[in-house]
Amino acid sequence: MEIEVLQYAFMRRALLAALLIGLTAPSVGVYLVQRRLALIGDGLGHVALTGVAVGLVTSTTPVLTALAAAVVGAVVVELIRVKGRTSGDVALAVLFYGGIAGGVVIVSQAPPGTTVNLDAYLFGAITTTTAGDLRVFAVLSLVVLAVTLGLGRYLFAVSNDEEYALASGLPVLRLNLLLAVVTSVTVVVSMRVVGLLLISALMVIPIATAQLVTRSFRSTVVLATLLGTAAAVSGVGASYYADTPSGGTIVLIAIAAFLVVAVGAALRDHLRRSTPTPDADA
Amino acid sequence: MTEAAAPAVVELRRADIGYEGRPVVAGLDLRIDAGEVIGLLGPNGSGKSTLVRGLLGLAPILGGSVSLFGVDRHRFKDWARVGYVPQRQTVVGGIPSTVREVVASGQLTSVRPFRRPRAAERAAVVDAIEAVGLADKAKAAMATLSGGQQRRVLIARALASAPDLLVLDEPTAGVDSANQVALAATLAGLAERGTTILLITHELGPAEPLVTRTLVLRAGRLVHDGPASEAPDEHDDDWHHHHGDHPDPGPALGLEGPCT
Repeated sequence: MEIEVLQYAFMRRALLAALLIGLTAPSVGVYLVQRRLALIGDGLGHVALTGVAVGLVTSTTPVLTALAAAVVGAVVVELIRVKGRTSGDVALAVLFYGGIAGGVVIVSQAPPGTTVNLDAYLFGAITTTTAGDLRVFAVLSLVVLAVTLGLGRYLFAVSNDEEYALASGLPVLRLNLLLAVVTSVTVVVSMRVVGLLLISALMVIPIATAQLVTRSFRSTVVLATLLGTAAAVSGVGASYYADTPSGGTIVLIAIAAFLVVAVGAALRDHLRRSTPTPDADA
Repeated sequence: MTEAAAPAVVELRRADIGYEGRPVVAGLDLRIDAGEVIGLLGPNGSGKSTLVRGLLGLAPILGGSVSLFGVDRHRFKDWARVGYVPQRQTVVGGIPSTVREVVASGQLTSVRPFRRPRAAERAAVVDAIEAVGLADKAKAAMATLSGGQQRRVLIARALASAPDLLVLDEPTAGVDSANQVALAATLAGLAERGTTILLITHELGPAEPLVTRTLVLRAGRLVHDGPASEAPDEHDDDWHHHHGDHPDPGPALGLEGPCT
């Protein structure tokens, strides 16, 4: 059986990139949501745009310059978070809007003749993943999964109760920096297919969906990874047939899944409350 | 037992502990030996929490010295020997987690990264959950537990590394009397096995029979240090704060093990 989308090399690359995103984004996002830092990926996407712009202007691979910018941004964000409690969100806002403003301004300085499709970077596209990108994404995804799986128990402890982790003698600052760096790496893995403005959605929405029906951390991670992978891969496929931007399509599919599960969970809770005691009014 | 033979579990010498260079606890001398069960009392703001946070490395030591098991706190590495039950309620994070998962996060200094926990480590988690009488809730989501049960999970988390010193900061605040009795039974079992316990509290409640020594802090200084029976009368002094009625002391504690 021939599947039309697999005939094209660019689609095979986009689908593989989607698979990597689906595996990595929720496995990082679960720790961000647990610490109520769900939007940090969004901010790092903004910062990565400056890196993309630098890459375009200097004719360097944008994926690598985005990686450098996002990692620096992640470390700065984490240090700000540790240092100042009160002005932290303002400092983050400066960094995030500085990231996107810097990106737009630097891109405008690109040498004449350079065609820059900023939309593809911001909202994702299925045609832009190069073979070189895919190799970089594969290596980065392995790094992300090695950290989130290998050090998962430590990241859980730090995310669940930072003060307790500190009192247990864990290297909390180093673990936090590591999580921040891994988040920025995930941002870069997602930048081609999902886009820098929508990356955070795949770190957060599959987690939000999974936790509606799970009661353990581990099952939340497993289910969110399945949901994220399904949304990313089917979104890329749908984007091809419907001729829509892939990032937006993936995110809408993820949100649709969230709504279906949320309604289902609400119905289940309602039935549970009303069935065992038929005379109860609730 | 002479002082030279066994290092103190906790030893403070003229210790100043505080924040941003300002000591909350000033010039404190204190020695706690193995097997003691200490009730640390005092009004809000007297420095009780700051004192234990200084022991645990959560508050800076501004002067003097603090040592744990004979090792200066700044060089102390063996944190599995110290169990900590924080006052703050932070056990319900943004993601569902089971009792077992939260308790297992208490033994990380003994579990190596990139490896699955060994059978003995998993067994220690089961034992810790049993010690607080929540064996039937091991797979339950934290969010479905009552406040008192969640507090007991935090104690199990502190027990998961089999500590020699257990530090509890207000473990009974806002906990109903049934859970206070369960908690006291857990502590009794630990004390029996020789665990040194440092219990910060406003009221000893059902744990009172276990306490071998009472310390009272006021404005960062030790104003009472003596056997539990000599603790200042609760109603004589302004350090006493009520959280509702005095709880019923409950049944005799100590030998019957954990109850729920």
